[in-house]
Amino acid sequence: MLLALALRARAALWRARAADRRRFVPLTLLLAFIEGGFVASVLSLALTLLLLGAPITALVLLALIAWLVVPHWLIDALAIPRGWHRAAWHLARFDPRGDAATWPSLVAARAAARTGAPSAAVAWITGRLPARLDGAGVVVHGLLAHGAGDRGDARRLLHSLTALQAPGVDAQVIASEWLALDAAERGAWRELVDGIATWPATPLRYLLEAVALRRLALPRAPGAASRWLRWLVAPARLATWRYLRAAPAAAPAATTTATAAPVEPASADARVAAATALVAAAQAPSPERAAAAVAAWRDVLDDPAWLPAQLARAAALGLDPTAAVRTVGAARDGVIARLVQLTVASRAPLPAGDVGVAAAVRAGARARILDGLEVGFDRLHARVATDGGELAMIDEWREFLAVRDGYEAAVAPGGVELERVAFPHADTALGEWAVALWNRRRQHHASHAITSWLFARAREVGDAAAVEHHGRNRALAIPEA
Amino acid sequence: MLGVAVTATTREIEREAQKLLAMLALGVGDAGTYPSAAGPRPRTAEAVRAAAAQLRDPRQRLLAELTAGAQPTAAPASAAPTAAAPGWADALRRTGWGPR
Repeated sequence: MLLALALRARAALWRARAADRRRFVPLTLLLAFIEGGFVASVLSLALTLLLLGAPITALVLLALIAWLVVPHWLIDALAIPRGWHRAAWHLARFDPRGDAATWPSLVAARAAARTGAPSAAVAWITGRLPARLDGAGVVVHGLLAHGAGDRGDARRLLHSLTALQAPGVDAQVIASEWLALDAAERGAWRELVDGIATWPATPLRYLLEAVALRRLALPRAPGAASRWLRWLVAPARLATWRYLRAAPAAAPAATTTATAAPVEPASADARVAAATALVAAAQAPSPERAAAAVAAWRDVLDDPAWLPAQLARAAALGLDPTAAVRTVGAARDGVIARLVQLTVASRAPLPAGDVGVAAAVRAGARARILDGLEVGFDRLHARVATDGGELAMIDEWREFLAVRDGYEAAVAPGGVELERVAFPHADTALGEWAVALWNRRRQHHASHAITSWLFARAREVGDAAAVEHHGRNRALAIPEA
Repeated sequence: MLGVAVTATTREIEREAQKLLAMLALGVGDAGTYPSAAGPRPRTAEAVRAAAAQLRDPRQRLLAELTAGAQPTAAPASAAPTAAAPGWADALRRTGWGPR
């Protein structure tokens, strides 16, 4: 009776800890106290049995209790480090940290990733996933991708959990810890702090958040005592202790602005400065350099004196007036084309202005961006409409993430004005895709995510009909599995 | 390529091209390379002849004049090596995630 109550309390405490960062350490200590009580009781009982001359019974009792009461210790200490995915899967069914429906696959994927995600293990684990892709399925594929060496795919998949309406606590917990460690590895401390509002607390994430707050010298950074307390309740203490010992002092907040792009030397000759800016932007594309090149060429080509001077020069070189006009026009168009290419490639903001170079570059870049999106959406539309064009569900999800990210990156430089033109193409292709996934493949989670994204974009561009349509679909309840 | 001013006359261009071709044939001086906005580039006899031919054509000359004279720019800001790694190198592996 007491054991059952303690087990139930432990499960509740685990959930509460993930949801409440302020009480994370006290709840962890309470959990440790409960588990310490388990272990002390079991050891006393086993010792008593040993003294009574029943060593076999004592061993069986120990094994049984370890399996049923503290399987997470076996998982963390044995199954995952050794890559025993089957043992991890079976032990996880009794793991109090997660739901028996989803936790085993997640833990097994983590174990398989440790040994490089061999194909037999991948087949074994993915064969146990439900046919309908959910949050746990996405995280399992992400962990396996990491095991296979594709860290980028793993990051993208785990991040994508935020697009799902109900990814599940287990999937969120695993993704939360993995993403926190990944961000720490890349030194993306700001990303870690931004994730506080999104991801549940896990022991390592909680520690890393303290480190990130300190690295960014934010006022809410916990003190040294609190930081070391977080270290104490986190796993892998030896590894994290080394990092904490080697950590540099908090960087001043201004560090990020100190690495601004070098300023090009000003040139007295506007044309030379423009030519220099164009070469600089082509050599090392960046939004700032592309914008600087556009601005420099605007000074040259929009100068009212430029055209007459060029025509005079053409005449001096022996061109007749018709050929001169054509040649000067071709030269201007050639420069504009290069500026368009640089602007699109570097995703620089489209230049403002209704006339001259700015207008020409903006129009060219808009056309190129819209053409690119249209081609992509047409391809998607054709695939979805074709029988047999279906992909494995995780690949459908990967394609959605790629389409979504590509669209958002493409329309960002042009703002809402550009997106108003682009959105109907996205709406048509992705709307049909969402319907097909919901009705034909019963992939409700993925379909709902696509609809929710379309709804958000429709609101962004103020498309009332699309807002109403996707809002209605978005309100549909996802059927139980 | 030819090292002549944008305003150079056809005669000046021809003279410079012949001089460079002679230097390249004899292998004297520093005619084998020329400075460009993207850094030093190799100069060959074929490239000198092609450049001279391009500048003889008024249409191509006008186009070339527009983008000529670009100055070398500072090297792009690359990830400068720092004394201490900014992140926790190998954190995932060391804390039990991903391949060993």
